[in-house]
This record gives sequence, C-alpha cells and structure tokens, in this order.
Amino acid sequence: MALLVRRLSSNAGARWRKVGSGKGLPRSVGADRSAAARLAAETYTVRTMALVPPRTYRRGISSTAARKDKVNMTFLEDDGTEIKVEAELGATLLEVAHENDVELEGACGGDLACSTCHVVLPKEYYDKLDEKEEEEDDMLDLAWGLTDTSRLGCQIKVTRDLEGMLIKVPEDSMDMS
Amino acid sequence: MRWVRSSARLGLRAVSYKSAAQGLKHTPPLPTCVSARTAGTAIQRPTATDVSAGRPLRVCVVGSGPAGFYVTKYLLKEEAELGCEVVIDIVDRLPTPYGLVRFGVAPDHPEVKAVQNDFDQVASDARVSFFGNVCFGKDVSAAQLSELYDVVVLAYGAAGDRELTVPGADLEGVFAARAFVSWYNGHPDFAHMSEEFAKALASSDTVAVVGVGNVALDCARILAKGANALKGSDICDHALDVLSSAGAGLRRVVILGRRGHVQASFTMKELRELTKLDGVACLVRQEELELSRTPASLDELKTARPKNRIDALLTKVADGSDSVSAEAKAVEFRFLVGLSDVLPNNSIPNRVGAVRVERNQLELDEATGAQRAIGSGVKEVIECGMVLGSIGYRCLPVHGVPYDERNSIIANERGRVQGVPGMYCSGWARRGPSGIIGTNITDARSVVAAIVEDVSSKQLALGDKAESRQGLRNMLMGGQDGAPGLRGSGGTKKKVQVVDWDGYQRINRDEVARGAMKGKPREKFVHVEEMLSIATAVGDEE
Repeated sequence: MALLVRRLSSNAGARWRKVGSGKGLPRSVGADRSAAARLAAETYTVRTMALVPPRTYRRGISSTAARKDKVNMTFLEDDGTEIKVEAELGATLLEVAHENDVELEGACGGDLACSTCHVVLPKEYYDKLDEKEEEEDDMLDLAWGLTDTSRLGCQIKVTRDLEGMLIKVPEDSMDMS
Repeated sequence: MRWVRSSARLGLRAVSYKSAAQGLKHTPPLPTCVSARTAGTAIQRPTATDVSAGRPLRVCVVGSGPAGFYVTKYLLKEEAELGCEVVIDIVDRLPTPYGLVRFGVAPDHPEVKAVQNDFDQVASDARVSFFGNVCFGKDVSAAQLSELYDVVVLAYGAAGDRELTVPGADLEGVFAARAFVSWYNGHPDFAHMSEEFAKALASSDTVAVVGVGNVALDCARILAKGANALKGSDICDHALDVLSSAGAGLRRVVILGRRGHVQASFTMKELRELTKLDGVACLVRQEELELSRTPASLDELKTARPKNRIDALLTKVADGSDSVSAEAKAVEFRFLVGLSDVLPNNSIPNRVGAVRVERNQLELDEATGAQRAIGSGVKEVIECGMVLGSIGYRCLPVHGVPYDERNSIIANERGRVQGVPGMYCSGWARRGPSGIIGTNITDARSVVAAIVEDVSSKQLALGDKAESRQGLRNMLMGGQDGAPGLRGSGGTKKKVQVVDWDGYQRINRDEVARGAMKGKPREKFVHVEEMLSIATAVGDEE
C-alpha cells in the first residue's frame, strides 16, 4: 500500500526566482571517469520513506566497455525509490527515464506541450544547463511543486557535465476541493 | 471468443511487452507477473486463496478520454498490489476513443494529441477491451454495470455547458463555445452546424467570445488564424470551408473577461500563441490591466509565478497596442467587462447584432478572499455577428449515479461515488471541468489508490460475477442468453453495434488515408453511421 500513499501538498507557495545564466557547454571529460567508476562500483543505498519497503534497482547498467558514451545518474522517485542509471550521451532525461522504468510521465512525448516530465535538479547541475526557452517556462508554469531548479526532462540532453546528477521526480499533489 | 487484434499489433506486444509499452512501464508480463517495480519486494502472484479467489478483478471504465485512459493505465500497473490480474473494459458513447483529445484539443496543437500514442498502448494491452458506440445511461445503466463488474469507474467528463443567461442569449448567432470547438473538431453531434456558423460569421466582421479560459482562447485563435493557416491540420473540411468563405471577412475577435487579467484562467502557452499570430495583432488595454491590479490582485501576482508572467506579457502587449491600426485584423482582450445583454441585429431581428457590456470593478469578498466583479453602471456596445459563450462546462447527471447539484459533479469522496460501493469516478465528472490533460494523472492515481485500498482491505466485496466482458457483450449485442440492451426497450430489442479496438483501428486507418490525400494528418468521419459501417467492414485485415 505504501506505494500508493502520496503526500498531498500545494504549490501555492512556490515562488520563482531566475537562477543563474546558462553557463558552459558540455565539457569534455576525463576527470569524471574515476568518479563514474567509483559510482558504478558503489553499492548504493536506497533512501526510503517510512512506509516504503527498501528496494534496490540497478537497471541499464552495462559493461565498462560501453561506459565511454554513458553518464551515471540517479533518479529519485516521489516515493523515495532511487534508480541508478547509465544515461546515453545526447538522450533526453525523459528518454533515459523511460528506458529505465522511472515513474516519469511524458504525456506529449517530449514535444514541450505538457509539464508531466517535470524534474527537480540540484542547483549545481541546474546552473550548468543552458537557459530555458520561454516555451519551457510556459509549460513549467503548469507543473505541480515548481521549484527554482525545476526543468522539463524532455528539454535536457545528457552531457558529461551531468555525471553524478540526482534527478528528483516531484510528488504529485492535488488541488482538489 | 477472444477479441482478436490485428496481427501487427499483436505481434508487437507478444514479442516485447516492455518495449511496446513505454507508457506501461511497469506492466508485468503476464502470466509470470512479477513487475520490475516489485521485483525486490515480497509481493507475489496471487494464489487461489487470495483476495479475489484467483480470478481477475473485473473493471469497467466509462469514458475513453484522458480521465478514463489514465485510470486504466495506472490500474493495470497495480496487479501486484491488488494481488490479482486486472481486466478492464472501456466503454465510450462514440465509436472513437480519446474524448477531448480528439474533440477538444485544437487542430493546431498536434503535439498535445501525442498523448494518444500513450493511450494507444494502453488500449492495445491484452487485458483491455474497448466498447465503442455504447452509451452509458442509455444502452447500459449504472445498475447493470455494477452488477456485471467488481469496479466501475465513471470518467464521462462534463458534457453540458454553463450557458449564457443574459437577455438576448437565445438570439441566432449565440453559441456555446463547446459547439464551435466540437464542430471544427468533427464531433458527430455538431457536424450539422456548418450553416449556422457560416450565417453568423457572414453577418459581421466581429466575433465576441465571452470568457477568458483556454477554450475561449482556442476559439479566438482558430477564428483569427483562418482557413489558410489551418489547412495542414486535422481540422474538419466542413470547418475549413466555412472559415475560408464566410469567415474570410473576419476582422476582429473580442475576448470578454468579467473580472481582471489576474483572475483569468487561460494559461501562458495559449496566451503567448495569440500574441504571435501571423498577420493578426493582439490588443490589450493598459488601463484595464491597471484597474485589475487591486491590492488583492497584486498580492496574488507576488506569489503566483504563472500569473506574474502573464501579467508581464499582457503589459508588454498593451504597450504595443496603441500603434496598431484600427483596421488591422486583431484579437482584442477586454477585462473587467461583464456581459449585460445580447442585442438583435437591426435588419435581422432574430439574429445577434451586438453585445452590451458593463464596466466592472473588483470587490474583495472578505469571507472567501476571492474578488467579485461588481457592475459600475457604465455600459458599452460592441457590434458583432457571433457570440461564443465560453464560461465553463458542467457534468450532467446520469440516472442511477448520485449527483452533487451544488458543484455539478458526481457526488463523491476522493473518487469514491457516495453510497455506491465499487463505483468510482475520475476526471471532470469527479472534480469539475478544469485542469489540463496532466491533471488527470493525479486524479487517476488517487482513484486507483482508493480502488486498491478497498480491494485489499476487503471493503469491496467481490461477489460472484460472471464473465463480465462476455456478459456486457451479450447484454448489448443480444447473445444467446443476453438480455436486450436498454436502447431497444419497448419491445424492439434493437442490438447495439459495439465498436471494438479493431473496429476503431479501421476507422483510424481510413481517416489517416483520407487525410493523406489532402495533406492533412487525418480527415475525421463526422457521422456515426459512416464510422459504424467502416468499423464493421471485413476483408481489410492484414
């Protein structure tokens, strides 16, 4: 039952502040390799919420040979499940999520016509990304639980800069009277 | 008899459940049925002693719009939690699925319709069956479905309108926005209205749209864009014909908001589109924005990012509005003007000639914190030949389903229909007509949670149900032991011609083929009889 218990929250208080400027194109990497190897070798722990039984996933992680074109990331689902993935360079976060069975919708299929692939990023990674297009901001306006570091997963392409990123899938909340 | 699917579709699913089911990410491949999601948990496939005594949970979803499809999608994922297989029959009044994705989403928003791909995968799941052309409340009653199924989820939306009630609202040329939208989108119930819209558009160069939601903006945009800009979309030919002839003289669409821009319910994407139309100016009056910025509105602007960005865009548009020539084709926003009455055309007295509006002011209702519009007595007449009332939809009551009169929704508590165990509701029928497609996801998840909770806690007694799917089929189509459908009551015993998913696929293929010849994504069939004859055509299966 735990899977189904979702905290209801309101985004009424969500404020928006423009953060940073789009810094940096993807850096080519060598330095990240060791971090990647370390992360991949790590036995990760799964953070759980009170009612969620601990579960461990490791999907899409392949041999080291393929790692050159892959970037390690972790999705944190709204029920506390962590899913570690190896993301292909150039793929969008939405594609990566779907390939790895992460509970992220994407109703419009990545066409910037809905906000169902809303993700929350750590500020240090958010700041590395290119600025949002205004169309993305327009759709984010409709997202639940908007934060200062919210993005749409369909608009973010995997680069080496994103090695080690923790991607939070926000909880749904409901505004039902 | 199993519902046999087209071989291509079947093959896809048989080979790779998962890859074919991007949308159904956690759908367990039956019958081994331990989903990836639960692989690490202790949840096992059911045994004969489980909740359901080893038989599937039989579910009927009424309505195949986003509300119905998202409930289906999420319920299919919960087999492990339910401890049993789930089979779901989706009933729709029309032979075609997708509800407002087909008949509401504007033809120039094909990207929004992409959600159909997701729904297609849900409908193609072997556990799901589609019953098109079956009208709930007419062909089959609430009581009959309750009898046949363990769980009934009502997701039939809001098929009624909040209508304009001012004097003159019954004049010819006054329509509900739904009629206009449904007409250009090819809803069979509105396909006959071309002549009425043509007459209205030909009678004046101005259209007034009453209301400031996204439906109002859709109507304004489609009218302002005109036939040329829409001809590559899936807008119906009958609408293109009218827009290119009677609609060619259109010069102005006036959007009337009773309250201020801060209270308006349209969203940024739709607003921005109106400001960027080719050859169409967007007009906003700075003084009306200023009037709207009461202390309470300013408070709201401070905390709500979407409203704040809309305020900024409207202000920018208002800055540029003065330099637009009065002759230019334009969409004009008017805020804080309430519709007083609709006035007749001078030469054709039974037809609309103008709307009279009253300048409103905002007054804070201390009790609710909401701001009301209060008339100031200052009036203005705006000439127009067509009025579209876009002030909201209403869920209609259905016999046998408890109805909440005050809110015009199904009487429910968090999706559980009041006083009817095993009956649930989702989408607009549950919460009222607001929100975007994605809102139904949240809605669906919570109603699915309620169902799982009720089944697991045995709140929901699973009686001795016969084979529900066959039972429904018999009831509708008059099988061997089937009772006649309600439609045939009165001794005629007329059978209902059910359109299954294969039938819809035939309609779909033909629509796409018709469209391809005209450079459109599809040309919809707009008559049910036509759809039915195509749906039952044989010999075109691969």
